[in-house]
Amino acid sequence: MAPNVENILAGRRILVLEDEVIIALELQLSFADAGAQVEIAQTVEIALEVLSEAPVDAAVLDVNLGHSGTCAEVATLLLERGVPFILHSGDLVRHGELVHTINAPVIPKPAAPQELIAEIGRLLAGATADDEGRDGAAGPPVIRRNRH
Amino acid sequence: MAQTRMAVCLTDPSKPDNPIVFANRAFYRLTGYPPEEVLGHNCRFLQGPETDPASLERIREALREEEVCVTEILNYRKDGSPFWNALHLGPIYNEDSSIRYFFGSQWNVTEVHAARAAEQHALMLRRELSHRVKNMFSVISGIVTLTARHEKASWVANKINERVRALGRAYEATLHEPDEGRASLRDVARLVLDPYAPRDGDRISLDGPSIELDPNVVSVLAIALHELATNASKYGALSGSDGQVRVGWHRVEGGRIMEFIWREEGGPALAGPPRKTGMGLEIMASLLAGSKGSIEYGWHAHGLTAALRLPMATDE
Repeated sequence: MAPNVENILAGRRILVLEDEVIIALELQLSFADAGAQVEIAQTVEIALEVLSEAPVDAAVLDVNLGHSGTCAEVATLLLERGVPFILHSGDLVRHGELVHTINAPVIPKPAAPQELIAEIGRLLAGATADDEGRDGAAGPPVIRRNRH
Repeated sequence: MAQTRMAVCLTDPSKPDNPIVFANRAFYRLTGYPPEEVLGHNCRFLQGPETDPASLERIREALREEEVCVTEILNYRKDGSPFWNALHLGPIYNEDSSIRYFFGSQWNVTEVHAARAAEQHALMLRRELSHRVKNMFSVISGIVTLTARHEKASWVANKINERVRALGRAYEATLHEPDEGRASLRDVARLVLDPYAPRDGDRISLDGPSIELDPNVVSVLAIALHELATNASKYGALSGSDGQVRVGWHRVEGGRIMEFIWREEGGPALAGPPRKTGMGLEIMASLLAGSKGSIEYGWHAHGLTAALRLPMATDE
């Protein structure tokens, strides 16, 4: 992970929409290590509440949320507000699935929290700098966007 | 028209309630009604409890506007059994452009409907399976991370989780044929190696015939590829910016053995075998031995080569 990513995340408010509490907790602790403050939402309703309380700087959205539906409504709101976010999804890697209809980077599950942090850092950096921010330095795994 | 196997009827809109004035034999065969219960009656006797009101509205509108209409509608035979009817209806005009008849052709598409529903159902199951399997891998990683955090052993957690995630990626390939659990070797290799292939160009090439793998082989191969890729990223062809990995495979010994070749080039030159092999390569060796397979390393100046051999099921 490039060292500046942690600086970028310091003090940021990040929404994590994830119905599996263990995954949410792992992300919360990992983002906290990077200096960010995470708001966990297990349902769409809670996510909308979090967004109405105070703005967030970025978000990680699970796509398929079991009984509470999908993240589509939250994704739409974030797109409207220009808040960068990534989809952290266990969906089929195929055309036509919901995950490919939302205009956001996809990181397929299972992924290392560091991959998500790096991608969020990249999105936040992209708000101020050119998108070419990824240097060619050693240190795989390199984060890939879903190319299918 | 009387002889065609396509069910056909004509209705006369100049008469009250637009009754059927002609129907062919196929119509009577399809619907099970005798001529006396068809002729002189409006077509609505084919409707039943599950008929979608929206498709009825489409038909009414076509009749009102004198338009051609193609729709699928659930109809019922005289004995009450339902069938999916691909209905094609439209106006027939007199020479003076006034309306003479409406024609309707009925085609039984119940089997097409069932096949489409089965396909939808299979896709839904696949989605659910994908979602559950991948979430499970994520949850397992989460538990490992949280436990290790508590035990202050995060470095062990990372080593475990890298392997869990490689397995998780590989299992995407089994979701194409979820009832069999088999996976294409190429898909497994691509999915496992994806995070190690830098964005620019083709640093990792895959070349070999189409081979379907059994689920137990998927796990072994996923871990093996992960270990080789990790090793290459730390010490081999993927550690610098120019090296390449060529991955190839084929069946040998009458198809009973799959031979898998990993060949690194353009990385740091090797002077010979390392004094000590890493834990990853040792884990891989014991997995392969446990599967009645084998691995041979070649430590060349151009880089590492590895030849994996795995027994394959030959019941195809």
